[in-house]
Amino acid sequence: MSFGLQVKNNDNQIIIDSELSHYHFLGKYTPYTSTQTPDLLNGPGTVSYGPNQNKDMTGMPAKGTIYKYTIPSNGAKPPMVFIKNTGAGFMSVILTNKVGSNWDTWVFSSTTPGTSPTVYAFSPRNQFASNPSGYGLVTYDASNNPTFDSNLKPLRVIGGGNITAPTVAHTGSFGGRFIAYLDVNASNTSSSFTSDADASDIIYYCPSIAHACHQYEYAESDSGISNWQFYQWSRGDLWWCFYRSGFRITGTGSTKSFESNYGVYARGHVWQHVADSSSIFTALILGALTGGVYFAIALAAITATGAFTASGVAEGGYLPYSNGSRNSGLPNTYILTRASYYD
Amino acid sequence: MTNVATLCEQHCGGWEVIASNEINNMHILTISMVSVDHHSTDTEFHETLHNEMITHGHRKQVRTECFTFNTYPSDEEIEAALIERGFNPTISNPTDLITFARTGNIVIDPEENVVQATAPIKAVTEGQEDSLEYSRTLHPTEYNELYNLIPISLTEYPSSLCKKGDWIHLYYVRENSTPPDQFFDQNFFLYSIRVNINTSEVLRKGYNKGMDLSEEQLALLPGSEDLENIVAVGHYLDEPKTTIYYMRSSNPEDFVSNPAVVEIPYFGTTWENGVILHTREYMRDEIS
Repeated sequence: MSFGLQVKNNDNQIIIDSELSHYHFLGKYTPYTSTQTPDLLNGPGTVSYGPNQNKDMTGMPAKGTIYKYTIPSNGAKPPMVFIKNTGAGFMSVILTNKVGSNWDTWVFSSTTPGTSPTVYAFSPRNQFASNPSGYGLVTYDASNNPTFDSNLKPLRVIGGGNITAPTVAHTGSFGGRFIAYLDVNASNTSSSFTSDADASDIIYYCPSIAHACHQYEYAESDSGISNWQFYQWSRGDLWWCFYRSGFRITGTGSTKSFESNYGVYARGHVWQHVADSSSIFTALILGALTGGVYFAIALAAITATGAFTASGVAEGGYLPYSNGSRNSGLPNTYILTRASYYD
Repeated sequence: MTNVATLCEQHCGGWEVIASNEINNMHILTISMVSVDHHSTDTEFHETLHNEMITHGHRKQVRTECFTFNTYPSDEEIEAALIERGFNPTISNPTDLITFARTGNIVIDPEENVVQATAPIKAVTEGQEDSLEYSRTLHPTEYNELYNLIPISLTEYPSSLCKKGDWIHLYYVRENSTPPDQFFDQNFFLYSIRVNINTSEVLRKGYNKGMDLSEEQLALLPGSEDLENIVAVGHYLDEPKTTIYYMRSSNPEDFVSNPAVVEIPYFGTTWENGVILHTREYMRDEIS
């Protein structure tokens, strides 16, 4: 270092370096909106033959909520957004996107819309929209950008670690006939850490990197004779859920757990249902008069339609992938601090 | 392991691994399971069913879901997991959700194709306005309009509805003719109730195929001795009334197989306290 300022502690560790861009507390933010991913739901309505049940989202797990925040950090370095998660759900940052002079940040919660989480944002000093007034110490780098400001609260890291996500979101049966079981039932993964702070006071920065997807398919068809009618119908359904990983902090005493699991980010249900019937009673009467030729022709005509041999849902890009996960085994780094430092 | 597509064509039960992934040392297998109705397994027996028009079905169920294993499983391990998940390649007790009755109405179009028309059942009574009976499956719009007029709570949807004056008639056509237990504890072939829109009064009627009245009962219904080709009898449970349904003639074209479907028009005469109240003709409406 040929110029600038370095402040070291007794162990010769650098506390302040004018060439390092320190993250300072930018503020607490509440969402400007919340939303849920629209369902993908499509298929024919009531059909005369075959089961017409659950041509909707019956039995599907509830979707989580996306909370959207505008973080006023004007620069190329993304702000660090810590989540104060005081509920039982799992939450994570799923998007950090620069829009003009702000960063649009989305926090996904595995729970349905409710009390929105407060986030604590930290930003490099030179990306603050205004300069704090007062006195104290401000350092600048070689480009004259402020890198440290004693008027602002620095990011005080109290802990951190790595955590993986469950391999799959749902284990066990995926459904029974026309009802899908795609709720998140995987066991939480956890990473323990030591802190005397109350769990509700600890906030975390941990962008989600894992996601999972499951689908359940069910097809049923029938044909035959009943009440002097030849009938045939076929119905095929595909239900799916796309999950994003989230996090929460639990525990009492000095040992806490940083836990991860999934929430339903998007879901869909598409189906196909076709049916037809024809009376063979009339044919039977005629058949008795004509030696059965008419009956044979009528039945052959019905069965030769071929409309029911492939009545499943057409292949298509309904979901990103089926039955698996991505990045679930990768270590997801988390950083911890305390909300009370900044309240 | 077998091929599902082949299974489907051959009406055989079995399973097939559709996809597999290894994630975090876990093996995620997507498996399709095919279950079929045992009716289709014996070709000769199956032909007999068709030739004699015996009621039966060829139900097939294909369920595709995900299984997780610590190591890549053998076929035996997969089958054990499938059984644990409830898989049975044979549908031993098919669930019958089919609603045939009142969805018949079969016609032959000008090209001589056998097709299903959607005309509602019409009851024509001399001196009264014609009434139309709307099926829940064939006429959902009209059905729902009538359903919303019903002033009482129902535990299940009727098969069809009809409005005659201030009364909504609710018809129940049920698998194996089991009674709709909200209103009936007696067994009939078909069931109906009518509900007064203004007073919520409920009156019940059960129907049996053929003639189930005794000679003594028939003697109380003057003119009934002249009726031939009896199709069914309607028993009013809360009123001194009886209806006898009969074919229009003995000609083959007037032969009625299933009075519930009303593909072939027929008549119904109702007596109250031994006096003929009215005679109705039941048919499919001309519109479709």
